[in-house]
Amino acid sequence: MKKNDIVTAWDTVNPDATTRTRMLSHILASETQPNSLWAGHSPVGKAKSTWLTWKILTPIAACLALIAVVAIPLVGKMGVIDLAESIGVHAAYAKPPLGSASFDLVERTETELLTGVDIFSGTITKVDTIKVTFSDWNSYMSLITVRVEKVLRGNVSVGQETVILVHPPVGQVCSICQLSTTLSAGSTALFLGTPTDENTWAKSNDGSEVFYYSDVADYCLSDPVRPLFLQTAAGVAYYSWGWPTLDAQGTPTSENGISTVPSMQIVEDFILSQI
Amino acid sequence: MSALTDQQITVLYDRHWAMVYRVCFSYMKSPAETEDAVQETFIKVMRAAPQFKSDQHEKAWFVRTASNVCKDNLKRWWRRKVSLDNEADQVLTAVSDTINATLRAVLSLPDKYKSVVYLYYYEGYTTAEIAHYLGKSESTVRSHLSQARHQLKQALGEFDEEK
Repeated sequence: MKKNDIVTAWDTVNPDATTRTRMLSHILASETQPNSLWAGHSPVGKAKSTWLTWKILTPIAACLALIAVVAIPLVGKMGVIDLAESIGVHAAYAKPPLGSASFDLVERTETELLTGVDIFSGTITKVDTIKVTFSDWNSYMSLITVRVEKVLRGNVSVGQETVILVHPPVGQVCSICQLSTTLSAGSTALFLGTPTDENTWAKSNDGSEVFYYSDVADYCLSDPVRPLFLQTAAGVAYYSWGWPTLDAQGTPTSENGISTVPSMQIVEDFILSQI
Repeated sequence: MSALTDQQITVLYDRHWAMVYRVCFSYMKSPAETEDAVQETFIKVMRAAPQFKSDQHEKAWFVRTASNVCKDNLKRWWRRKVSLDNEADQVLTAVSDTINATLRAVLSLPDKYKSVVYLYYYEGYTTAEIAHYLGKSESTVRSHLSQARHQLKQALGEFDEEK
């Protein structure tokens, strides 16, 4: 390899003009977004705040306000969520975002996946999506309410309803959300829930704003596939590539990494043998 | 500290976007995540509106901010992270196997080496300039370059300094 191979290689990392323009548009638009905490300091905003602009915007704003007043009571859950411990963020119920996303997993052994989690199964009674707004990014997550029916380990009781935070949200199309995205009210699953505390959070890029998951959920999932064993018509679906030991008893792995075993009892026996 | 106008941002963007994009790509590997990181970097400059004392200071600000944005994104509890084998393929088109292999090898280097390799070999900066840009000592930069070359040799065979 020669030094100029590196130069040529980096030349290939060259987005097209459309991408370049799109990025600039997003950058410039970001400063004029009404939800931006910095919007009040924006010189761009001030430059555009002409009398004509206000003459146009005022009636539109009035209409939007009227629609909001009428619509919010109708949609009910579009309200803001009270956050007791979080710092500098807002959260509200929302619809799942459109579009797809790509994800990959941090590699973890079976032992690591089973460490520090409460293990229980139950039926989902409710699925809500929330939008968490930081000053420099937004994050969508789902809150799934589970009625607990069996506890293998952990500080949770049969019959109790517990809330689990799932990220990305249910309904979001993504590369490794094969299991979480299909969750819905009525689904039965076994969960490896990470108890939420001061160590489970999402932060703004500069770290100054913190959304503590404990403000909205009792548990979170460390990723959208490995901490879930989902009862389906074909058996209990699980992420085959995360559970190689269990895989000896599973069906051949599908293209997206999902296998099934015939019953939840097999999953429970496997987990009890590991913990 | 004075805020920046759209025009000033556009000028800065035209001057630095390609460098910022490649620095971010070296960390994030995915075009989609790279775009996000580039935007975050420029949004930070809009909001911070730093007073640049020189061209060097300006470049250093962008390199360091882009690196920090990417590192922060990589540190998230669990994050959007796309495997090199999938999305990086989108940019590895219509080039030779040698070049593909080279870029893959560079992107597979530890994060702390990648931006150093990029700035040294592609941008042509000296180790002293890179040390200034990244806020590291010159000896650290030289050490990172040396380690990176060693790893590239292992991945690709002999590394020839000559162009």
